[in-house]
Amino acid sequence: MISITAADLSGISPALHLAVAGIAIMLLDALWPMRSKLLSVWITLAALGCSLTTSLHRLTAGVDVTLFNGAVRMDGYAHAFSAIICLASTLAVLSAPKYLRLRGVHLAEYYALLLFSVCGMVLFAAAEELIMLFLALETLSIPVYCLVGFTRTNVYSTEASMKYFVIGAFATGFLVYGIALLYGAAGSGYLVDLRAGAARAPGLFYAGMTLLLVGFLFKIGAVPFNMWTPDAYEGAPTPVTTFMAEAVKAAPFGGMIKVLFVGFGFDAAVGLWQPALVVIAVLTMTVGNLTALVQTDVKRMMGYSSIAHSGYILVGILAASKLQSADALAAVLYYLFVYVLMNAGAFGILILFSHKDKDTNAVEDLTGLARERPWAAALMAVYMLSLTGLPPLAGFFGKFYIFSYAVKAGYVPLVIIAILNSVVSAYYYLKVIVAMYFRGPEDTGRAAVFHYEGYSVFLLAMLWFTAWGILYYGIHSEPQLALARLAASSLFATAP
Amino acid sequence: MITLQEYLSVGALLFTVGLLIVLFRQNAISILMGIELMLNAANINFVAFSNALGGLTGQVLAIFVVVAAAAEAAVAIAIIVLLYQNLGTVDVEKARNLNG
Repeated sequence: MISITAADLSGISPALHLAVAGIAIMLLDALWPMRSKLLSVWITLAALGCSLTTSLHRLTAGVDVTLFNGAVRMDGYAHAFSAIICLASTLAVLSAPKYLRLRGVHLAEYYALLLFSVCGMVLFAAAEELIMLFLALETLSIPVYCLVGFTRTNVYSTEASMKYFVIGAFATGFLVYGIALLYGAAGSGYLVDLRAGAARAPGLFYAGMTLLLVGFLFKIGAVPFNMWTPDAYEGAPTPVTTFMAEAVKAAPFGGMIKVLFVGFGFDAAVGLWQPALVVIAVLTMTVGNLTALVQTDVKRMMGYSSIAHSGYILVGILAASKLQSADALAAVLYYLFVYVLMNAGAFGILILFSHKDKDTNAVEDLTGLARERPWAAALMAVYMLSLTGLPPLAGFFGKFYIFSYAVKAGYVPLVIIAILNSVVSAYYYLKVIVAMYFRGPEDTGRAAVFHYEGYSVFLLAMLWFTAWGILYYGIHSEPQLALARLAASSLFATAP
Repeated sequence: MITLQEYLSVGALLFTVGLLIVLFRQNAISILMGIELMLNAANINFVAFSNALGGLTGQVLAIFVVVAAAAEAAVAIAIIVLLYQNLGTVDVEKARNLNG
């Protein structure tokens, strides 16, 4: 007899908070539409806060439970991803009310959709089984297709939504087909049993592994599966782009790392995925950075920059798989944490100066910002320098840890390429700083106005928090790394 | 008696057809149909494997895929309607406001 126990429900409470809050918001909106908007912001923040604190608490307490007949495992790894994703989503939610209000689409559904998506993300890193993995992926993706098209009358938003849907669903197609083949090869849906498929039916197994990897690489926007990612980033409403660039970006890594390490393992025969990922990592970093160089739109540039960052994270994953050490994987988790802070901040500045009829998206739009709004310019400079990877900001330490473990793992040429890429990326991040600090209206021939339209305390809180986080957690990275190590070692406890 | 190989061949064929439709058709509704074909190709494999291996995992997976595909189709059709309202076309090649 299969039954759901109270222990199952309390075990997945980080995900459950979010789902319940999402449903509550939908009910509230139906029953009390007048007041539902602001209230739903608070409900969302409360739910995300609950999940975040629960996850952190359970991570430090070392909770490790297997639930729902082995379909979900809430261990340190799942809790760490849950915490990163809840933090990322909180930052995205804080940036939303101002923008949506200006666009006249401040609707409660936005928060409900966002919460459902986050619920899927939390379960994605916790899935121990192929059905769960697939369902979590769909739960996280489908609401995002809606969110991208949220400004309904906007042509760009609709087009971005269509394109994002096509790549997303296309990736799902590959993923499901890969899952089908792996299930056939291994004869079981559990990740730990997948490896046995390599001996039982190698043809099916390797085909399935390739297709599953292609599906994942689509989701993280790796080259050559990145075609429409920047379009989706550019066309989506900026708060949704924030959400996509941090939470939707970080979550697939949660599932991917688990499938690679626990499902496929590190044996030489099964480890064929490593050389493939080396090539993909090099391509992803290089193409992402080189294309970002020529962009004039900050959102689009950040789209390519996020592709490049996926490449750095892949380097970290490769190092962790080669060394099979929890420390190396902890560096990847730390990087994801830092990456979330930097991206949220950079998009936050764009939202800060977005007006009713016009977004502030072009690099040119930021010309002369430092003279008029010195604090905003200083914050943006912190985010950009951190994205470049300049010490002593958190972005530097994130890259430093990843690259040093990669060197230890013997991926020296890969690290050299990654560092060269970081140097190249400095050009387009610094382009923003140059525009803000060293150019004025006399250079562009038009006066830029930087007034805050639709002042939002939420947004300002988010900006200051991320900047503080980048400054503080760079130098004081040890507590974060210790948590990440705890999480990573729980994954390696199950890996072969 | 239909063998496992034959089921898998049909699945692979359907998947390829779906893939080609998504890659080469410009009509958004065709693309949606292509994606549905890809998902259903996987479903055939699930059920075939479930039959060959015994056990119900594959069949349960197939049912979940059907549900998820329905949810995806609902959202996709909403997006296509929006595309038609805003652009007057469902041709994704004509949706080129974002320089991709």
